[in-house]
Amino acid sequence: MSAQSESLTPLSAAILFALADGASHGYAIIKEIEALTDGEMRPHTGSMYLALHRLLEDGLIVESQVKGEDARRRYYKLSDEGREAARAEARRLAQLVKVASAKRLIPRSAL
Amino acid sequence: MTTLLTKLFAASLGLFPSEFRKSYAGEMKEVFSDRIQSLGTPSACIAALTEILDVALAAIRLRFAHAVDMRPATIGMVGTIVVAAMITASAAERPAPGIRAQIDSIDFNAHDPAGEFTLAIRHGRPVAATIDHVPLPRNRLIHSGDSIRVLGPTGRVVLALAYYHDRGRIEWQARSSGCRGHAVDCTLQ
Repeated sequence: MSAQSESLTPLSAAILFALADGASHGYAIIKEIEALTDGEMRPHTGSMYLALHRLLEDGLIVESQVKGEDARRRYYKLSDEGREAARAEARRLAQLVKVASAKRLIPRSAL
Repeated sequence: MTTLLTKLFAASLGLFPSEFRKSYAGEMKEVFSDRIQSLGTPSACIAALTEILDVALAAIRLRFAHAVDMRPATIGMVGTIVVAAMITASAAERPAPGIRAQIDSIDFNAHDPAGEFTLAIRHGRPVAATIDHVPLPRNRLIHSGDSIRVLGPTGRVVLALAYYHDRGRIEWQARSSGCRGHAVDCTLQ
């Protein structure tokens, strides 16, 4: 068996991280992901909603009854399970960064 | 121009299954028009093309998953998984597991010297598990390739399985009888 890793895709993980601060709607999630990744990740609409659909199916996010600034839009928020999954993913990534850093694979300027 | 591009994008959403469209098409159109409204015409056209291409790819991925759910050949494949898993289990001299396969899902029930466990697999991904009838949080199911590991409360592996989707086999590392009664947090040797 190979090394451990969560079954979250990078986009699903990014969505969970983007929702860590509270409920948000699709477009705001995309903008948040772009900001969080310094533009490295620019999710397209189709992929984004496919990922949201799967996260909803898996119970990692739920539709929020509390609407934000734009009441016309559907807002999504992390479920308790989704927050746990986000934490687990963050721990896994931090561990990987630690390994990469120990192997001197990350330039100092990137840290 | 924005209106025309939004109409083209909306038309491309027809590639998605109707249930998906009912749930998300309205939102997706809004997101698309938000994205392109601040762009000049050439950039908006390029953005629209990439968005439509992305919709096509996402729709294929979703439809493929649905096709896998529905086709008789797939039901046959799931049946193969059931039979092969039972054969694998008996070949390993473990008690035969009970497997209930539904269209796109596998519910695997088995026991070894440490006790009973269950694993639910949906679309090839583990989504739920119990050990000794205790449901485990989903973040303790670690899936990578054909490997599925179940972690205990301390993050140690308490159950390791291999799910060979293409060969229709599920195997696991039998836990020792020493774990009986506390298999939820008993680390694999």
